[in-house]
Amino acid sequence: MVDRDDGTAGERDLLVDFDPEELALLRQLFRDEAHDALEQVTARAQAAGHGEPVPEAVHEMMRVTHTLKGSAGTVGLTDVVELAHRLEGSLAAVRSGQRPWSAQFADAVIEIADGIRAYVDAFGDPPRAAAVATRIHELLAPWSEGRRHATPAPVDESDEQAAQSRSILLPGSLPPGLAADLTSDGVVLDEVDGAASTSLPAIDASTGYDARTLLRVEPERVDELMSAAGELLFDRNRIERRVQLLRTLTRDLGRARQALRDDTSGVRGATTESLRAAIEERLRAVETQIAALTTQLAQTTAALLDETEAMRRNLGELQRGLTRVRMQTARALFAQLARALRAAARTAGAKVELRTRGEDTEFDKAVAERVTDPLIQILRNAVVHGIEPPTERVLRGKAATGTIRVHARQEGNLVVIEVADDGRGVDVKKLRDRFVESGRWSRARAELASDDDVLHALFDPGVSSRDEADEMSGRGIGLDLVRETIARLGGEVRMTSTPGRGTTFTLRLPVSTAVSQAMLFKVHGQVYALPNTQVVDTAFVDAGATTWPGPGGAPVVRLEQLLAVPSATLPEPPPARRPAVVLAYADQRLVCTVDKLVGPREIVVKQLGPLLAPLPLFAGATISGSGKVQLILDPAALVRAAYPDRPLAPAASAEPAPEALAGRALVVDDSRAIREALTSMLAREGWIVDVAEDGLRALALIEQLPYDLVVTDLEMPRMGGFELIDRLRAEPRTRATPVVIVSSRVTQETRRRARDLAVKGLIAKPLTRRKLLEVLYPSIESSKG
Amino acid sequence: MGADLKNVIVFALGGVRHAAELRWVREVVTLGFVTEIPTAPPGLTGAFNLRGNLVPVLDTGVLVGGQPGPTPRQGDGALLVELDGVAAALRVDKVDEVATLQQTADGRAVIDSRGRTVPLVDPSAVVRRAIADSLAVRGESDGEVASELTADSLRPARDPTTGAKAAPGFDGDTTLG
Repeated sequence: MVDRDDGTAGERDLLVDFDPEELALLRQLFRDEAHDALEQVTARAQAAGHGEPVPEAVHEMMRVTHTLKGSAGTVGLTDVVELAHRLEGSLAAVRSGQRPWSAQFADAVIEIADGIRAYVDAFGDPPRAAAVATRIHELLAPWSEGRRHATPAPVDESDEQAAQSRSILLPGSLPPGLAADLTSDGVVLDEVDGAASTSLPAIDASTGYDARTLLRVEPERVDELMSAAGELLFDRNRIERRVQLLRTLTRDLGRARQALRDDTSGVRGATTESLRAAIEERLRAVETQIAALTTQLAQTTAALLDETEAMRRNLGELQRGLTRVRMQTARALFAQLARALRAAARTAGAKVELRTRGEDTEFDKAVAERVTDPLIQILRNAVVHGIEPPTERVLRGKAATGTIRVHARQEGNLVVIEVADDGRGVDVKKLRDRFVESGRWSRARAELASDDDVLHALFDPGVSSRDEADEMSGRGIGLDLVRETIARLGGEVRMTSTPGRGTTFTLRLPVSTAVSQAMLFKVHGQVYALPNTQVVDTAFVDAGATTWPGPGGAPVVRLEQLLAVPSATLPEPPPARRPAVVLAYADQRLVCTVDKLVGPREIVVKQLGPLLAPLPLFAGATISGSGKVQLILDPAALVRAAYPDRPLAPAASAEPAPEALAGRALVVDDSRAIREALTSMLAREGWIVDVAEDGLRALALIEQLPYDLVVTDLEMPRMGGFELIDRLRAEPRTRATPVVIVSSRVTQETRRRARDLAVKGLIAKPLTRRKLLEVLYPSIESSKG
Repeated sequence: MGADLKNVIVFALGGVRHAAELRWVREVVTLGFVTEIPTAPPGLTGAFNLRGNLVPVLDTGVLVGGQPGPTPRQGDGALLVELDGVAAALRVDKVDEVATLQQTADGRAVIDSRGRTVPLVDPSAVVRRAIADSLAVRGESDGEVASELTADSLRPARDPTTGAKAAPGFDGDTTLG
């Protein structure tokens, strides 16, 4: 029994529950878990009736499938929920004796498991995923509950099915009956829309790969790297030989000098003419020898310089090669966007098509991953607010179906991505009035502002308030987050719009995030960096100034105060004028005073890791030529510091930050995806969260630390949830610790036991933030979900 | 017998000998130049470059609830510990020995070869505590960075382990029954 009505959280709800990046991570974790679970199903299906009694095998397969369903729902993979649900149903029919276990059924289960695995892998590739889902439904059809009395397919037919699964199936070739069947089975055929030309690939689990975790590198690129590394070896050998030669020359020079000295001492006191002649001859010989050595030395030094230069070139080649290895084309990104757009269009009931160009544009995988969510946000905005309903479009003389064009191209060191819709555009005049009415701008400011200024005010935080959004054809939603994400990548986003014609977003991003341009400066003897994309100028500021008198004025942030460290001592007396870096971010300027400017540099960006990343001021770190760690400041955090009354919403805090720590919570679940999901949800409520993968590990942690809350799964290896709670209740220290159960199997018996153990809440998977909040804060009506 | 023997590394910290289980310690390292981290909680004293990787340096004394140690400097010794892929350097004054020692009955210490009790430090708890402290800075300082530009205001005001607020009430139960 699965109540799917509350289970299928849409993408939109999920983005309320999780940050986009977090959701991507959770899905990646889910993928790994799904692989394990489906392998178990396959193994049991093979063993059933051979190594293992059928009832046990079926029970185990159902358990694993059920767990899979719970996790899939939590991360919003509703198609997997559906598929797992139907597989579970087929297994249930066997368990209840309505259908016998047969070899054909075992084969089908294995194929279905392979299929679900392929679906999970293909998730980022919508046409392929849809095709795979279609195929799985086809496999499931003969075994689904509705047909449980149908005669099992004869062996040869099933062989034919197996053969088909290795072949290509075109949608046009589906018999009409089957096509209808698929539709009635809930497969959304428009998922493969416009795909009369798209072939429907057969399920082949072996071709599945995880696009997010693996780097696919073309063999030629590895060959290039090998060749560059080989060249470096030659360079080294050549240089070593030169150094050897230099040593020999030094020795020869020393010998020449010694000979000269011997000769000098031998002739001391000698005065005769003949001797003078001999000495002159000897001196000439030594001079000739030294001249030859000098020439050789000069040649060797020149050659050495050439070879060092060659090595430098080859090293550069190697570095560029390594950067290229991290490159991927825009193709995968476009596929993801296409899927998101279809989902958004379905939700909004809009008719939109996506046209892409520049699939072969290459950029760093890290950039591609991080730019996906902002792009999806822009697409959603276009669908929800930009594209008019078909009737309105036709009245305006446009095609009934809206078009969104996504173009990618490379410009020097930048990747430019344009997203253009042909919707209603933004009415700047109306928007200007609206800013004045809402009190956001004074009349004077609104009149002074150029159209461009007005449009760019849409990227300001808070412009997403609903009335404004509606009034201005809703371009504000989440654009501040889009800009912040792009800025973090070291890029920028611009927007142009023509009323009635549409809106275009232009994103400029660095090709790679690994190396970036930065402005370096010193504060308290330590070197810090700011991304060059946000540094607009350098200046000198009077020591006491709180605002900068430069163009437009700007608040002054004293980094020597913000970046105080225990060993810091302020110079005595402080200089009257301090050097400063002028930053522009989110259309705000600010001036950061520093101790000394170092200058612009190319830096290699390193991630901060879990210990340093939570600190709000830093975006990353780099390592200097002399091996010192240098911190990269986060321009967004500095702007927040300078403009306290205009808080910029960071990506992670779309809602108010927790007022204070809520306490320490322990999350116990064998699924890492669920652990991470719960950690994220609880952390947002101000909890410090520890995790354990089963009851035993949880007990060990609870012995060490007092917990204010335990959230546990029930079915876990080594020690399950109920045993854990039993043990907690037996200890005086933990007798009253609040416990919440999150389980995929909530039965009457579960509820009764939970009540007996004074469990405070029971949440049925799939887990959503709303369910969790309702249990945690029952008295507060959840307005956040 | 075997059950209460521990493979430990014994080190000196603030004039007191401590022991840590070897399984947590990846290597003993000499610190390179230590960059101080402004706004960091007291237990997080800096970061240094270890073979191209950024490694945070922790003040073990602070994190086990004792006295803060001296500012870490280049050339100091440290234990490189790793927990779930998170590496951190625990600064120590001196590494004494690596030994297999008898654990005390309460499991909180080991007995060294001269019969002295050496308290056990759990590096995993130290790292976990440091992460929690770091998260607490973010949780509590968002507003304050904006209003008061002083480093002091960025320090966590509250000990996240012991000073945490009580859990919210669980009186109503919407899902049971």
